[in-house]
Amino acid sequence: MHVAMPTSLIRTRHFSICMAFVAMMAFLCPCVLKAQQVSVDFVSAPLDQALQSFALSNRIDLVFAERQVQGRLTTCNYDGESLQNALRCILSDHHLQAIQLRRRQYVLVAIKRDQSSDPTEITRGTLHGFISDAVSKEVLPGAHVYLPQLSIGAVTNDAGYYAIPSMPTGQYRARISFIGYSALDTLLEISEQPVNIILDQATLETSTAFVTSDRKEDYSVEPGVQQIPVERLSNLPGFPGEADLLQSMSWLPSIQRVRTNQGGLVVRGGEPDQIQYLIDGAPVYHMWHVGGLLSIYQPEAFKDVRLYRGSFPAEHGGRLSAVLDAELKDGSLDKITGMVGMGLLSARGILEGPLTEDISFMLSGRRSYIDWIIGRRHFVDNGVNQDTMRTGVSLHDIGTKLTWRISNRQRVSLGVYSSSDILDIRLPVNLSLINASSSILPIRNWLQPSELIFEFDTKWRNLLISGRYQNLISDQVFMTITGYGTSYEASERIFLRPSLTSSVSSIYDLAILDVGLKLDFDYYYSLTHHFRAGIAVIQRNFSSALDAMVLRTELISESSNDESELDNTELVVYAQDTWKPIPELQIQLGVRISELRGSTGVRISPRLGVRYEMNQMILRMAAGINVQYLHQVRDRYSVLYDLISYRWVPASRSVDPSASYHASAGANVFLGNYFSAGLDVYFHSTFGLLLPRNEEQTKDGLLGPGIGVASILGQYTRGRARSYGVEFNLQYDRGQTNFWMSYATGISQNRAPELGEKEFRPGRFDLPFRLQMALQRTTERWIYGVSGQWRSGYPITVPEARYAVGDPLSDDAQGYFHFPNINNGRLPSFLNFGILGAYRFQVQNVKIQVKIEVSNLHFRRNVIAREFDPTIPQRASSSSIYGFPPYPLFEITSRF
Amino acid sequence: MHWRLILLVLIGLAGCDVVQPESEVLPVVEAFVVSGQSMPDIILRKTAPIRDRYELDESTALNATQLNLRMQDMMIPYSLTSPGRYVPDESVIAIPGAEIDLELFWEDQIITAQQIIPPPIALDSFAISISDQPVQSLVLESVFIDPSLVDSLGLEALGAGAREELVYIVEATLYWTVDGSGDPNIWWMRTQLRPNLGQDRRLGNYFLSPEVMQLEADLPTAGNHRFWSGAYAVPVDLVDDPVPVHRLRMSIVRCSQPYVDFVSASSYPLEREPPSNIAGARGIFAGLAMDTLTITLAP
Repeated sequence: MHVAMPTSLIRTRHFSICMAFVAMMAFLCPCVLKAQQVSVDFVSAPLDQALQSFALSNRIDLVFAERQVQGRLTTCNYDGESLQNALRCILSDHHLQAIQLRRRQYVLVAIKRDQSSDPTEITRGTLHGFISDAVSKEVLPGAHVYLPQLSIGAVTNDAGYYAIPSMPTGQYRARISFIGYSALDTLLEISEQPVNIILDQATLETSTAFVTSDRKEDYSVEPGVQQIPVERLSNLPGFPGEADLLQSMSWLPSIQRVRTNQGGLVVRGGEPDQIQYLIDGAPVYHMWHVGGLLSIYQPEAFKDVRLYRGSFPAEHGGRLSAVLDAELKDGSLDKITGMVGMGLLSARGILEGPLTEDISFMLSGRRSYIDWIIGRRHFVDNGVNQDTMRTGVSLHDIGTKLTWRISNRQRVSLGVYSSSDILDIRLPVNLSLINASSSILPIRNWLQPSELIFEFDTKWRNLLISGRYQNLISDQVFMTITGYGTSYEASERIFLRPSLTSSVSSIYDLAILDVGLKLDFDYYYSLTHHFRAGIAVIQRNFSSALDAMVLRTELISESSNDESELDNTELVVYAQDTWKPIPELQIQLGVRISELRGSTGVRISPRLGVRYEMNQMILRMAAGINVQYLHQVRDRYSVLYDLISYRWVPASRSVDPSASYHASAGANVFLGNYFSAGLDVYFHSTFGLLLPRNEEQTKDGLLGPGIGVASILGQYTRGRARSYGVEFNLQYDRGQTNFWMSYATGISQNRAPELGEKEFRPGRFDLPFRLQMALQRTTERWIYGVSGQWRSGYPITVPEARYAVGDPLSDDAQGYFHFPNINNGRLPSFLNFGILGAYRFQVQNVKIQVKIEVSNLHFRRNVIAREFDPTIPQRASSSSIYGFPPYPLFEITSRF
Repeated sequence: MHWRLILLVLIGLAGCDVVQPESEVLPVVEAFVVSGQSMPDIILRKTAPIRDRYELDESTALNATQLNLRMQDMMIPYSLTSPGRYVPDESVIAIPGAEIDLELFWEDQIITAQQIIPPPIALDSFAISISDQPVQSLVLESVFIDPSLVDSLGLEALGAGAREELVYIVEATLYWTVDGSGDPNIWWMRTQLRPNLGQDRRLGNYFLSPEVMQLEADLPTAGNHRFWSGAYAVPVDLVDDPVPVHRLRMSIVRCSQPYVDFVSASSYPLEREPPSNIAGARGIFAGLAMDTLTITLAP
């Protein structure tokens, strides 16, 4: 099958959008400025009034302290074209001078006695340093430094480094803030050495934000980025009642679960494979544990989790919808601390502390214990023969990180994260001793040594290793080198022998190896320009092998032996400038250029982000192009392989990468000290998507078409997708009480032109509306709250008519449904209310929290699937499959 | 007043997205032209709303304004004999390799389909073997957790619905001649063993494959014959019981891709609708070559 996308179409669109960016930049950047006539005439005028009058008449921002000008008079007459000279005239004889920070922004500084009054000779420096946690000394990426007088700010990078260059030497009032930490007001001074700042964690009962933070002092221009407050989200009710990063994220307005009881997330109506999951810069290919109840992300192991939606910064790419960038904790440099927790499914813990004065460690782990309760192997014995039953279901995560602060300017870290799952079921069955031909019986009654066996042994594992070297080369240049290797391996073994003469055996192995090297530079060029650039080389290998045999009788058998291996190398170069032409406006313009060597041409992905700040409002806009080289597909016929794992097929000469065009705009309004509200609109259009040729095909065959790339791609056709919508959220944070509400409405549609679809139809995850609310109160001892979710049901394909057709080999005509349109119906809306209560107390130095929650409190039978029966002649019937009834969940955590 | 406003807001938030779509009435065609046999009856029906019963009578029959069947250049006249059933006015034999065109007019629509009649096929011989004794077999129907025992959180809480059977395995190999009259890379074969065990017997599958559709070229050959082997299970009550007397119908059908697609999907009527090869209608218009043999098996 040829699933190539019309490259001319993509390139034409690339070109068009590039031109649109150029036009927009031309509009925003008035390159030709007319000389302005400046006239000043003051006679013994109060200096403060003269400066204010001058600033007003010339529309400039002039920053000065009251104490600098109080009680002073100025006499000045100037007529010319230089604002600087005019200001020099006003300030003469006062040992003050005006230093230009940005276009139309000046700050008054005192002239020392031995200093020239020429502003070009004024000493400037970079206000820079690291921000870290007060206790653990963990650096804090994404923290904000804001100079309120100058309306200037900076955001720390992945190493917790901030830099505000080209500042006149001196002291500045600054507000330092980071979500989950108490804001700090302090004085910062220009210095050659980095000025390190420590922040104290906000206590739960004095929390600052419930779900997200985008206060005005947050100076991030990155559009669509959300800092994930993991700890707070984990205190919202949700199955299975245990803190889990990805499960908690489904509370965010733009994120939804793929199905009610399954793993997988989608962002703004995209597909699950369109989210890039990163741990310490290394990609993760399988994010969910057995059953989809828990993700591999143990929340306590991560210090910083950022979600980029839609248009990401140029350093990120390779996926269409979102990037979830999670950083493992470095480990405390202060003392050994830890946490242990236990929930319904698993126990988990973390230990961190210093190894030396400069080296810290973090060790985290999580493991399920259901196999310890019911056992993994059970010997069955009927007095004559012995056999083994296996019921092995387990999951675990292990994370560790070593961080060495070589100096104030250099650090090295090595992170390792591993997750694995085992689902090992073996049932030897013998009903011959039971006096019943059809039985529903406790399993011990019919588990007997037997030749009849049902065996399903599946394992899968993620292992990633990431090393980083970060070096502050100069005050203005920061370098990060990241090398990683990540692997995903899965094994699916099936053996079924339902009769003594027939059996099915299958061994299916799948492996992904992804090795990458990245080099990133931050260059804090000036107050108005921060450049970021980098290169990356990524080598990937995908392999799978199948050895399957169906023994129908002693004489009739079929087999399938197949192997598939794919390699590719991706090269990436990116550059980005964060431009702050005026205090209120930030523009982030970037471009990402990538190529899958030998398979696709060079792809150019421009990115644009704009942030404009007004009194109590922040406006944001973003647009860009994303390219995804990996398609996630799955065999749709056979029950013997691709059961747990999806397969990734890289773009090639015959399969183009998918590309999407994003645009979004939004506003955040701050109403008083407690309320904030946000409104976002977005539009995505995607090309080169692989859509199933037959949406209704189910995995019900045995051998299937095989695991070759052609076989699996033959089950898909190229398609298009588009989604657009509006998201609204309202937040109230006042001390111990938090209320949060979000409403999202949107449309997500697909179209497969090769299947003759002329119109877009609802996509798999189309949700016309979703309303979520949570109210929580936190006291010293208690956390209690209620939460609720009400949303549309997911789309389903429902029959629109019925008919009957005969067949020469059948006696009677068979009834059928007519399904003319895919996803033309919808399940009933989903409603869930839950309550949560947690009690906290301290024993010696151990802080303990006991949490109990109850979901689906109102006993609603939410429909999660629906089936239809077309048997004639009776009326067609439908039956519903329901979700969980009310269920209580618990979790105990203790920190020391 | 306030509650009305709240109701309106709730409706607005929820949207009116829960609807039962209903399609317009569509014609349904059922026509199988078998190589070397007289032209078949053609059945026309129409689709009905899913909430209605679907009786195979005049309530679902469709009477076309006009029905034309053409084989190569020969027009074959058909007449409506009962609601929805069109019968050829004269006996015309379907010519192997001939192109056949169906055209019918209904309301303001023209419904058309084309097929080629495949080369004839004949079931030359067969071989049957039956296991000497019934073999033990099992159908696992469900696995569940018994809520009354769930507090034990142990193996006792795990239950299962299972059915054990003793079955005779009956294998049949069907042979037909390869005469070179058709390209085996074009034509497909539908091969089927269909035992008649009475109404009170359930047939387990056990991966036995009593029916297969394959490209004819993929089937093995022996001399100038192609052959296919299939098997089915015949359940008995006791290990000493002989294989029950039953009738077995063996069929081989040479067909084209649209018929294969139709039959493949028709095995899963709950999930899928068989694709139609008729422009403007549902159903199937197929040219087939087939042979069927029914025998009685006894111990």
